[in-house]
Formats: sequence, structure tokens, C-alpha cells
Amino acid sequence: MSEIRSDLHYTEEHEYLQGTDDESVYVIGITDYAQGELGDVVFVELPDTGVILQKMEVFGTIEAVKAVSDLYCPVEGEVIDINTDLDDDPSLVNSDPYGAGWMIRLRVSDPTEVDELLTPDGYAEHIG
Amino acid sequence: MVAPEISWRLIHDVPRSGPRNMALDHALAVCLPRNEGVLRLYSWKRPTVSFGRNEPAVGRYSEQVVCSTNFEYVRRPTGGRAVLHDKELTYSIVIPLRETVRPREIYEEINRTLAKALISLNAPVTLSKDRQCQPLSSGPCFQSPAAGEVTANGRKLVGSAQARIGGRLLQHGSILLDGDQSQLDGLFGDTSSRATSVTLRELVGATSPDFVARAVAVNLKGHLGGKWASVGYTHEEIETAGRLENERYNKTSWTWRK
Repeated sequence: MSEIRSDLHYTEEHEYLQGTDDESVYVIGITDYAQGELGDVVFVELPDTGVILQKMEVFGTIEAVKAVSDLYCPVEGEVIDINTDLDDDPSLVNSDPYGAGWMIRLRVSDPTEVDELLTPDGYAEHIG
Repeated sequence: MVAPEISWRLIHDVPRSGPRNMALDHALAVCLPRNEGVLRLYSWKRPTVSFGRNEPAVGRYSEQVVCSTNFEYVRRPTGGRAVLHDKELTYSIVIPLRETVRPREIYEEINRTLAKALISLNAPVTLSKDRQCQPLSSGPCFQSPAAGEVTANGRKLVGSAQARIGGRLLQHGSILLDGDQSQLDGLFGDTSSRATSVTLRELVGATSPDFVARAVAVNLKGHLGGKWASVGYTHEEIETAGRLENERYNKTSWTWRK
């Protein structure tokens, strides 16, 4: 059974957004369900900090055994930090998707866009 | 497995260059309508080494040796590790992704169907049960089978990889008819003489690509179901492939990006 945390926002593409102390900054990663579907993650490619991402722009790729998938930015914003630990240990995405397996920190251009994302219940329904 | 309402297109293509082959596979995934699937069967104009989308190649494949070979080099849109495409039949399947379609299940089902096709040619193949996860830096694709891949006596006969591009899944792979993947091991600096791959020639004798293509097409059509037609590329697919070839697959900066 995949873990769906009640304090996160979700997307249909299986990313999550986690709020921080700064109300315009969110941590983005992929959900527990997504990592389970992908299997063993062997590589994560992330953008440079300072990059401005448009809504639904590809911000990186993730590779599990044999399979590459694009990562989509669910809201517009600026990348202010990336998780460089994933260079050395991409399996953190599998072992701790909501913690050490986070991917980017995004300063969101319009925080009201976050409210348009899926709620935990909505995401639970989405993945059935 | 996929969806019975899908209309399928079979494209039995002519041999093309590495960049063109990768651009066409990618373009099919970009352009495919939501209710269509494609099976493309093809080969390569000249021996070509393809690297996986994220595989580290620079510094791992000896530049000196690379320059002295007559191989073409290209980087795939899909995952996995390096393959030497020479005497092989290559398949690619593009399908729309839906909530009910799980890429890992597709991977296993396609491999199972390919195994059935190869068994129909009297090749004694099975599916690998090896669950070990190999890092991207661990050498060429055919050095080790992944779980569910088609093998004979533990040696790999078919190597496949996937990419999710937009709302579509692309899976393509190499069915070795003949040739010697160990040439690639040498480029990688591995001089051991381990036999890790196997060819159809070793298993059943010489076979033509067309003969194998027919068996693969018959079995995949039977398994995937739906309506099938032998139709070529659309204008949009050709245009998109041209753009991808120029902007990505023909560029040294993409092939040797890492």
C-alpha cells in the first residue's frame, strides 16, 4: 500500500509539493506510489539552480531499470536548490521519497496555483 | 493487455542510420494519437553503437578505440546501457499511456510475446529471473540480463529499454540474429572472454531479418489484439523526426553529452 501524506499537494503525474516555512517555497519530489511503479531508480537528472520553469515544463528525467521518464514541474517558479545527494545515491527516491529523496526546491511564482493541485484524497482516487 | 479499442500500425522499415532510427522512434511517441499504437520493425544501415539516455559514456568508452572503429554512435531516448546494433532485428512499440497501463507489466508482456515468437523459430529461450539492479556505469547492455529479458542458457538474446514521452510509452529492443557483442566489451575496456550474449544463429542457424520479423509481427499482433494496418509514417511524424534528428540525434553534443 502506497503512502499518501495528508500534508502534501499532488499532481496527476505523481509528483508532490511540500510546503516550507517560506510560503512561496515548495519541495518537489515523486510520490511513494510513483517510486514503487518505477522500481529501482538508477539515475536522476535535475536542472541547475536559478532556472525558471514554466507550468508543466520538463525539469529533469528519472531512470529506473531500463526505463526513462520525464519529470514535470506542476507550477511556474524558480529552482532555488536541488538535491545533489541523488547524484551519488539515486535509490533515496525509493527508500525515502518524501524525505531524503526530494528533488528540487521551487520558489513558486503564484502560490495560488498550488491550491489547484490534487488533494491527498484526490490523489488517492487518482491512483485507485 | 493494452486496450482492445486501439488501432495498430505495422511499419516494416528499411535500414536507416542511427540518428534517423532514434529520431523516428522518438517522433512516433511524440505524434501518436491517443487511440493508436505502432509496431515498427527495422535494422541499421551500418554498425552503430547506441548509448542509453543517461548512460555515462565519456571516459568510459576509450576515445582512441572509438575513433579507430567504423561504427556510428548515437544516444537513445530510452534508458539502459550501450548496444552494438549490427546483425539484428530491432523492434519498437509505441502505445498511449493510460492509468490501466503499467510500463513494467508491458515490458514483461512484450518480452513474453517475443519469447513465444522466438520459440516458434525453435530457439530454446526463457525469461531471465535475475532481479539484480545494475548501475548505468556497469558496461554494455548485453553483458547482463535484467529481470524478464529473453535469454538462452543465461545468455541474453534480446535487450530492450523504455521511455515515457509525454503520454506515450516507447519500448524498443534488439533481437540478435548474428554478430559479436563482445566487440563492444572491448571498446568498454573489458577484455575478458565471457560469453554473455547469444545470437539466433548460434541457437537455430542463419535466419533472415524478414523471417524473424514475420514471426515477431504475427505473435505481437495476436497478443496485442485490435485492428492492424500496414501503413507508413504520417507527414507530421516525418517532419518531427527530421527536427529531432537535426536538433538532437545527429549532434555529437547529444551523443557524448556525458
